[in-house]
Amino acid sequence: MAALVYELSFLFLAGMLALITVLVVRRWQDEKNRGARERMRHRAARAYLARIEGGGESAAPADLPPAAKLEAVSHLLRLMRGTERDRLLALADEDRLFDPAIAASNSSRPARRSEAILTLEQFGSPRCVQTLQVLLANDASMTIKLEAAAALARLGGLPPLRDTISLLALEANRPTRLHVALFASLAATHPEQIRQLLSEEITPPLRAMLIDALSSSGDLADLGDFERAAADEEPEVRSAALRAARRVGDPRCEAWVLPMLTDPVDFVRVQAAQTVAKLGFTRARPKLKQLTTDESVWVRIRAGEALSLLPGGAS
Amino acid sequence: MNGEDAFYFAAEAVFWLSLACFVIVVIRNLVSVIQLAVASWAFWNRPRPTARLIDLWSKGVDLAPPISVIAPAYNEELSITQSVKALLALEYPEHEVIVVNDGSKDATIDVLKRDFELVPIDRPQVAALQVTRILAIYRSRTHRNLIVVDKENGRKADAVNAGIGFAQTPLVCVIDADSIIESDGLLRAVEPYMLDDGSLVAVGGAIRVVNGCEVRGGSLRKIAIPREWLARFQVVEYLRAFLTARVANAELDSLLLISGAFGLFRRSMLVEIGGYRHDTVGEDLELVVRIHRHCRENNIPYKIEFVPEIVCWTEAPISLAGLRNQRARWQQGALETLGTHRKMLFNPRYGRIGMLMMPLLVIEDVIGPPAELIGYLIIPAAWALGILSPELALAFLALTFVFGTALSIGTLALEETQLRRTPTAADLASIAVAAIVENFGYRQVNLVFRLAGIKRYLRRETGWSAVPRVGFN
Repeated sequence: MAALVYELSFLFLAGMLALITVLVVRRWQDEKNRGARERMRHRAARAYLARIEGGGESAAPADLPPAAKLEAVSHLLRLMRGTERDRLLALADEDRLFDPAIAASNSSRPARRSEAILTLEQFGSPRCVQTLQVLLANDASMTIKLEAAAALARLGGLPPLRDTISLLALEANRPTRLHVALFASLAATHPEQIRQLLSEEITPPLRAMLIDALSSSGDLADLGDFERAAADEEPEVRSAALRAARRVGDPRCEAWVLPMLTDPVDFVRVQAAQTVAKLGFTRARPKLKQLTTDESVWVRIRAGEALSLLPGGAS
Repeated sequence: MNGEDAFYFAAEAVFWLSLACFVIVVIRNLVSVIQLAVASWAFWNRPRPTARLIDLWSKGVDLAPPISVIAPAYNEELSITQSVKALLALEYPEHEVIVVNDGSKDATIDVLKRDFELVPIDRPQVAALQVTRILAIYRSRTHRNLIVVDKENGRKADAVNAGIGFAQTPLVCVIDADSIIESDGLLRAVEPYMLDDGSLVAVGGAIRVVNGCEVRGGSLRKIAIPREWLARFQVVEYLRAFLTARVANAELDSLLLISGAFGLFRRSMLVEIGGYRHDTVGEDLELVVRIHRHCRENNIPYKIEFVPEIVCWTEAPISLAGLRNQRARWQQGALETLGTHRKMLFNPRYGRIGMLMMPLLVIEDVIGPPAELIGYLIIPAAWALGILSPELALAFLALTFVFGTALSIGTLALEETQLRRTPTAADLASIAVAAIVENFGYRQVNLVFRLAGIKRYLRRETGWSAVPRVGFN
């Protein structure tokens, strides 16, 4: 036993020393080759530029490593727009630069799949979008699905919102703040789909999330939806309606916001106080004064703040 | 009992004591190697931090939960302005800084009043968790998100409690006065809350040693390694603590400690449990243990997570006296926490916290340090007297010196493959050398310092031993 412990200790140390030596040497080589890598990236970039203009060789220089080509394409994509950008993506696809990322999207390690999403999102060629859609549909990890959805949202490749909700299992699970962020980022481009979903039977957390998202579109035509949400029986939906009113900032919502200062649920009254303050509804002043003696400390605090923020101060 | 019997009895006692020390050291190393393996597994599967998700939500101010950063300050007149400016400049959509002047004897409050144009305000305290008197509350005219609470002197726990009481945001970030937060530290630390279903109550983050780095205006400008060997050894220790132990414990839902230098908590949970305790020098450990206890006793679903990315930098002591005070205090704090929550030990009601983590705390903090130290003395002596086989004596030394070194090097390798925050290959090599050298002297000295903590605990000393700081470059 003692001999085994002794041998194992030295074996473990030898292994770790070998590993750290390799890592130090790798880092040292990285530092040493920084200039050479930069030169390779420049060569690759020049080659792609020549190919885009049609004056260069038909293929990228074979001696360049794929990583250098990928870096060059990534750099050029940031500078290009329109047909030049499409041509560059097509060339990168032709050179199969995305193949490693597409292969990594099937890795058993979530870490590798997440890294693959980064690359696929950055380039966004049709093959990349297709791979992201497969990840959204089939991945076992909800976090990876959400990352794929966020990438697709940026690339304009998300499936219809109803399907996205279903793929992210939002009918059964409570949406997180990241889900709200995702749908808020879609509100400007897909408001009609959100409105359609709001007209259907959906769970209260989902309804609240969609109200939050819709308000990011900044479309005043949605005030009716918010007003209907303000009359919802679920307090979290009413709260979302108040947040939406705050975000949209239209004074026409005063008629339904003011009565919510007397909502039976304290966190709705908190939202209502914050909303009247933000929108400057001075007619709320008497009610706010009453709320400064509310049973909930948070309502008292927010009512006091609202009074001080309304035109004329707390007087 | 004749002389021969007495010698035989003494030899037996020495033999069994040696064996006990050996077994304890084996267990401690086994735990460390399991933690290294679990942490490697966690890193292997964990997506590397990316800016994408942060990009997604940080644009919407409403979506990021507002945070109050609570910074206790005591006699910080020389550095308080820069520190507060750095806190105000943190990248976060909506954060408030609450500086709590804990009865400073110098001009801390006057400097704050002058540099930030403070005006007295009447701000309600949501929960009075402090035991000392609040003297005044101020708001800055130049920075609307800066609140200063002036109070009588208590200790850090009391100052933080006062700050928690005045916080009105769902999350509070508790830091030390000398913590240097990474510019995107709040964004990183809050990310678990963005995916939270409502059960997440606390998030800890990795902390590194700032000695040797370039710090200007309270912000980190350039990462470097410390010149002093004592600080370099602590770099290795921090890597072991944050990249293996904490990552592994968090992976197993058993995180027991969120460092006082940086912790992001749900404010309502802190208020519910009454904030930090005032009667312990290990208030950060005690707080997390109490959160576990409270949630388990009341069947509250809860999660405590850890972010392995660096969120904060802290100054390590570079004198043996400073190190002694710090380590003795940590040791005393751990023992006080164990004493307070002894009911949780081996109690299945507390799940893996009671059945696994608390017993490990006993091994690590109660019997581990004296066992290793006694082992250094008694095992070679027993071998010399022929009581113990040379194989066992060599195995003990191999475990402490050789295995310990391998663990440190393994952690450094983990850092290099996953986070790569050591600036250059030369620095990496220097830290690797420190990881080897620390096992020959530094480790043993630390054990002695921990014995001092045990002594303080037994004497029920309540004083706070200051750790001298030299300031930043």
